[in-house]
Amino acid sequence: MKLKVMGAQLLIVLLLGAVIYSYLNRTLELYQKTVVTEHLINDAGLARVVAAKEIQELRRDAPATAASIGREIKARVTIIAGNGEVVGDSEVRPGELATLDNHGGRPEVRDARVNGRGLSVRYSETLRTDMLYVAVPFNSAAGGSALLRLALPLSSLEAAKGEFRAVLGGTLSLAAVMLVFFSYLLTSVSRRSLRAVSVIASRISKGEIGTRVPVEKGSEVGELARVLNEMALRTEEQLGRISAEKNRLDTILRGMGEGIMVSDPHGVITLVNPAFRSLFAIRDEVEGKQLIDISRHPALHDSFRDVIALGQERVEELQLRSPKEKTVLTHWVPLLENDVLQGVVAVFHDITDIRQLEKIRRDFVANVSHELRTPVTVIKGYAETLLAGALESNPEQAARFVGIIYSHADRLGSLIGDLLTLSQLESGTLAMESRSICLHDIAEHVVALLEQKAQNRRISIDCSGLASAPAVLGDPGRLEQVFVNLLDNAIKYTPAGGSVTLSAEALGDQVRIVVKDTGTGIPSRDLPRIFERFYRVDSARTREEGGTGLGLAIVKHIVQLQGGTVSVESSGQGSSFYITLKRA
Amino acid sequence: MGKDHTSSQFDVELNDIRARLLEMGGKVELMIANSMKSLVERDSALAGRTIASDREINAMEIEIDEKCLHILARRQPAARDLRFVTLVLKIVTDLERIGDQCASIARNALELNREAQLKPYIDLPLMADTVNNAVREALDAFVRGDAPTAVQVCRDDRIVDELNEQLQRELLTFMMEDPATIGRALRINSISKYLERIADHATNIAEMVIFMVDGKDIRHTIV
Repeated sequence: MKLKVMGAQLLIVLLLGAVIYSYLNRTLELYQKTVVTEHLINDAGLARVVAAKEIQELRRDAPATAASIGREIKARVTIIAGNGEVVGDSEVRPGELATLDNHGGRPEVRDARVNGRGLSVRYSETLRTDMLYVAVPFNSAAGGSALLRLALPLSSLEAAKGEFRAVLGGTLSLAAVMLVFFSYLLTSVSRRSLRAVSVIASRISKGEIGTRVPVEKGSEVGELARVLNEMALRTEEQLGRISAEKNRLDTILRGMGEGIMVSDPHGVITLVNPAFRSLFAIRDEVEGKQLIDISRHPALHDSFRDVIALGQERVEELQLRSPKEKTVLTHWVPLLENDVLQGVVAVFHDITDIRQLEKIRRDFVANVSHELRTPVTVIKGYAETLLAGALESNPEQAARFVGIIYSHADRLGSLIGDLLTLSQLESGTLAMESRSICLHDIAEHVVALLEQKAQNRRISIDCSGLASAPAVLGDPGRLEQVFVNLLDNAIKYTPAGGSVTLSAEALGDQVRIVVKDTGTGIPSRDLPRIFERFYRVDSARTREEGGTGLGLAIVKHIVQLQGGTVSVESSGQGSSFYITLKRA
Repeated sequence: MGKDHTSSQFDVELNDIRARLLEMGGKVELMIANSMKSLVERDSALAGRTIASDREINAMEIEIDEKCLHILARRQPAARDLRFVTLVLKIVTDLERIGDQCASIARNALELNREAQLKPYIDLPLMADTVNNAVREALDAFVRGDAPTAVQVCRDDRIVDELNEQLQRELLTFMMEDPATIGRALRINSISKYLERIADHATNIAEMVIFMVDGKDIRHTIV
């Protein structure tokens, strides 16, 4: 680039120089020649007058006249007789005149004879140089006609021309050299600043968006730099806005409990959030993979295809089998951009827990009705028999029937009592005290209540582990109920000869109470559900034992209301119930 | 599949086959689960739906077969693509057979649901879970080109075989004790056999995946 610019400039200067040089050269030469010729013609006119006066006798006076005129006008003067014989010459001695050849044939002499004036430029053999000749005729005083010729060597003219050429050429070449030098200097200066701008521009383009070009005031690069800086600033602001927006979206997506998946119309996934990944147990990258690679669930693909085909939203419930059994509510939305389908957004809402709760509620209603119906049926049956006449005809049997009716009414009463307690606990209407309680006192009281039952089944209850237990915070009446329910359960499910052990230990600011039995244990698949209402491990047996199926649910609610937790461990050698309560 | 093809249409076709095959796999997995659910939960309606869905599987087999033959005829795939297409042709057959076995299980479930339950179903769901896992993992291995998982599927086949034998022994005692149970026991026995066969098909798929990934044929060898 730089060389091109300089070359063009140089070419223009050289061309211009050549034109100027040749034109000046020619004009000057022409002018000089004209001037010299005119001078010589004038001189010749003067010399003719002088010669006409001076020369009396041509052959005698001519050499002296020629010499004197020649001295004055500083040119060679030749006087030629009418027959062409040279009779006087300022540069040739008189004695040698005879050696000169006849000049009658010279062009200027011939012209002068015919036109009264002759002009010629020729190479003179005599002086060995280009000469300008001017010849004019004149009549000498004696009356003979003759010619006077002036000759001026053009060598002086050539010398002047040479000098002029040298000066002109020198000036032009100096101009050319200067031009090259300044043009180099200027282009490299602008090149340097352009380079600096381009380096910074490339850094900006590579992402160093904060880089700025130093602005040089007044230079054309300065304007460019200013525009570039402005552009970079705009881009930086734009990028900042975009990345802030993206961060916000990312945070929202990350924080969402619902799984989100975005895919293109061909089922290639473009975006998922962490909730989606955990829902489908995805470990590696999924962006760029096909939906079919994530899950082969047929319903998923049917929904996807429908949304793509119809371009309409869709809400569907999905039963996921792997990695876990899950119920997922999916919401499919087509992604439209200028009415063209760009893909699909799917939101996956895990409703397993909601469905589970609904099921528990449904089961609860069914269970309550069932539990209530059994004793009611029994009571009704025996009461009917009594009414039908058994009361009078068979008083003994009637007494037994009334006993049965009483026991079932009692059972009904305790069931309703438990249900009431539970609903009070759940609604939070039950006032709970919170004071320091000695666990050992309560345990002893409960053991006294249940002693008869335990002795009947030959089960020993050991609550000595609570003797040194720290006091806990809670409601004594409710805590007593917890112990009653747990110990009652333990006695029921422990075979004769077994034992139930109570113990407690401090864990930080909490106290953990353990009720351990040597009973039959609880199957592990039932463990997560035993605190549910009416959940029975073995329904037939539990009812024989006279339980309501609500004991553990009540335990859980009481403990949770007092800020504690309940858990259970079980093996073939018995079960352990753990209760944590706040330390007093 | 085949990232280096100049013809992108070819890529699209191969990808389509792969997607359809996986979809068919998904349907088959669902069939296994549903056939077992129809038995355990005594859901005869579900059994009916499962039997009906075998028709879909058969249609998909024909469709994928045709697509593969089309590619073989039109594109003359070589090396890796040829291996892939022949593999799909074989996997499709296995999946279709699994579909048939599921339909058979559902048919037996329909019959069993008409009578009282012979015994609590414990081993059968366990077997079905194992089998379904095997099919899922074989297909996952196919998706990821994951040979170690495929090898594991081949190894796990033994578990199903053992469960099958154990169940057969148990059923034998039922039948010896009470001839009235023989009908039901035989049905349960055949369900167990179907499950065992499904596991064999899963093993077949896994072996082909190993062949696809490692280029090593391990059929009829002990892994």
